[in-house]
Amino acid sequence: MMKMKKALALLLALMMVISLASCSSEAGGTETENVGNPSQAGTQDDGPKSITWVSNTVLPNLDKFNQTGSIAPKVAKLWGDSLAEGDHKGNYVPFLAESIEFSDDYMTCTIKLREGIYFNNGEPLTADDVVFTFERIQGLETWTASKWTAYLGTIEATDELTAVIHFSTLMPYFYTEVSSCAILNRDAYEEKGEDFWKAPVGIGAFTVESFDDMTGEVKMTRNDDWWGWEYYGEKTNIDTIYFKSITEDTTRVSALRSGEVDVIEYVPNDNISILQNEGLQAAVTSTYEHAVLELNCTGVFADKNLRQALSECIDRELLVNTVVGGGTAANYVCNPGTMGYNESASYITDIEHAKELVAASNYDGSEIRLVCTQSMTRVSEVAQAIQAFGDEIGLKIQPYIEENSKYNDDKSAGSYDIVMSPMGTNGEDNNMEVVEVVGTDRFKSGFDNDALKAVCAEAATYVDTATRADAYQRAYDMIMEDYGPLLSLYYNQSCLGYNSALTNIYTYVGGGYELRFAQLG
Amino acid sequence: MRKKLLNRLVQTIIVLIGVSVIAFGLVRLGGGNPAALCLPDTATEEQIRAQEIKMGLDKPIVIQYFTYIKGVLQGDLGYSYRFNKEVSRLIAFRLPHTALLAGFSLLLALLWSIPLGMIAGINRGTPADSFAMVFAIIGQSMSTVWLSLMLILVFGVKLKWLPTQGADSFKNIIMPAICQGFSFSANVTRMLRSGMIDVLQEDHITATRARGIRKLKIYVKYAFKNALVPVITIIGSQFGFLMAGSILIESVFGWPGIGELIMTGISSRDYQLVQSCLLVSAFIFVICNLLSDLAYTAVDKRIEFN
Repeated sequence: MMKMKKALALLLALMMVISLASCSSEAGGTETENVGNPSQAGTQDDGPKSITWVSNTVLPNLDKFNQTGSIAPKVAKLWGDSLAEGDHKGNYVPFLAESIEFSDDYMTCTIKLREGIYFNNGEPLTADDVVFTFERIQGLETWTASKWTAYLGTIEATDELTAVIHFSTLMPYFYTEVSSCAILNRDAYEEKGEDFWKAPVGIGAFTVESFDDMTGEVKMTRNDDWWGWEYYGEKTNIDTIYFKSITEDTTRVSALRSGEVDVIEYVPNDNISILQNEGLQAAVTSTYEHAVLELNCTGVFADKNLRQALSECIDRELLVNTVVGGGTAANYVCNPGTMGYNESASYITDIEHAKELVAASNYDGSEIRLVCTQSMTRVSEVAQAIQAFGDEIGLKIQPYIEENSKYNDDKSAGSYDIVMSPMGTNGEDNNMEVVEVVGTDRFKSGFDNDALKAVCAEAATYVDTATRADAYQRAYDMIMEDYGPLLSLYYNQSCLGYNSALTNIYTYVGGGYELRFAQLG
Repeated sequence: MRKKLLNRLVQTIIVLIGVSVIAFGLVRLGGGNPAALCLPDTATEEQIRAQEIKMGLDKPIVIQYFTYIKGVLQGDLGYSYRFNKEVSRLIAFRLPHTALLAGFSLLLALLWSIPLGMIAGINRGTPADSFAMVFAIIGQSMSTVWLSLMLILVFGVKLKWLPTQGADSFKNIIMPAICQGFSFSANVTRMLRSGMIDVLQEDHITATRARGIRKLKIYVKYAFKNALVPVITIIGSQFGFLMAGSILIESVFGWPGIGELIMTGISSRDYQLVQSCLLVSAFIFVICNLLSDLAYTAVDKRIEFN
């Protein structure tokens, strides 16, 4: 009896050791899987080729203007071309439009469409469809639609291929918004009514066959008549793309490793080497998001010495390499590749000088409240690192990691000394950060710099991207010089994982990627 | 019997009213602004205020409650601003998935634990009994998350026998059901073992042995039925508990159930979604308790339905 019990205990211990060993990511990988994609999905040689593309966010519907997430525009990139496209270098080029021209006062925009372009239902693209697209947005009362409705006046079609937008007020980020606005077919929308969004009719490399609004799953088939194949000079061999979401990070990565899916977004940093060891692809790019410390300048950080001390005590390289496990140490207040970025700027780390600044300030040793959102990656570790850096120079920083709603409440009410959060942009345009956050002091930082506010307000008046970028840089330079109200910590990275049978997937700074020309097998 | 059932119905209604008030109050006590959470954090105060009006949050709290209850009585469980859909549609889609997972995990758990519990109780002190006790200890102490991840790693990623996520086919339910039922099966094994040991020592069992009745018949017909009563209690409550959804299992396996729905609703302060999910869960729990009470009377005639 005792022998039986001992044998059972030994067996149990052995099982646990084996399971721990099989968890190891550095055990030389699994050689059988180094041949690449072990999947049954997406590897058909002669039959139809399909892939499954997975995000971490559920898609509530296909209408970008009836939600606030970023996933609908990504999916729309496949089925719904827009009038302009970003070139991923901060510039925008006409796409469905042959030309986009503004009047001298930027209050009128004339859009000349390309000839010979057809929707996926065979109907030709006309100026009337452009008019319909924007008039529909005007009729919506959502936050996303307000990005347009605050500025749109009237829209008219002056001929078959020319649409004119008259703005009620200058729209500074017109190009950013117009490059993610799919042009819809009026006839199809009026015919289908509410069912339109189950299979929207646009112009794109793929056609939406079905959308399940309960699961957020989309089925798209290749549109062989898409004008873009000739325009770009390349064409995908993938017949069908299935889009779905898996919110849990580990499950999403497991699904790729097991071959159930083919492309996944947002691979966690510590899973990148696992994918690479198993012969899967892991494309890492910088995003347009950075981890930021927003300082409340009405309390202890009203003193510039203390703001500078905080900035100089943080070793951003150490943070990225040992705590975050990925990304790039920030050198400026905005991300590389975004408008206004200054690559020659830098943050200094100087502990001794930081100590002198603390000594020279009127800091009395009281608790400095660092409020963080629990939705930020490695928030606990990063917050503790900031606390440790502060401790080294005599700052008593106390992290408070809060649930999203509490965090939002505290941030909006200004109940913080420091807020740590990810801050991102919609594409390359830093309008949100400069104009909306800093310019209006959205989060009650109390930062008192009239010159900065004036530059932020000025940036909001420019439509021309080069002029606006220049204004952004002037604003950012002031923030760098004054060490507030923002201190950037690091630029986040994003990893796209996919099976190695897939090629021609282009990834871009900003975490963007291109699936329209992917090749399978 | 009819009178007693009517009595239970009245009690159910009272319980549900209580649950609706508690759910309504609790989600609001959690703080946060649901309107602000629907919008990006750079939304202005005017935009947040407009969203509050759209969501009916500008009205007095009592009016909000009665508006909600009026809707529920008319079959309208409210609107989810997080998912942009009617709550009734969301629940109607997810509840069957939760029910399927709950039922299957219960079935798997019982298929394994009932024979094991019986064998352990009959053969007390033998290796079979030891095995059952070790299983019970492991089942009650093992982390469900760890078990889930191990199963995914071994059977999904390494062996590729089973899918790691989703609800597309029968294969998808196997791993989540095993994980969900594991701890419960350990409980049933232990409870049934104890029950069998107790019952087998009773005089009426000795009498059946003396009458020369076959052992198998004694164990199944006489001992098992009596030992089953406490097990029915935990089956009933466990099923009700499972029907509220397992957030962990559903998240890890990507199973579109109601647990994950509740969790998302709580974190986004989707009041009507959380209230309605809790109301539906409470209703199911009450029904499960009623069914288990009815099952007692069927198993043991000495017990009156009350």
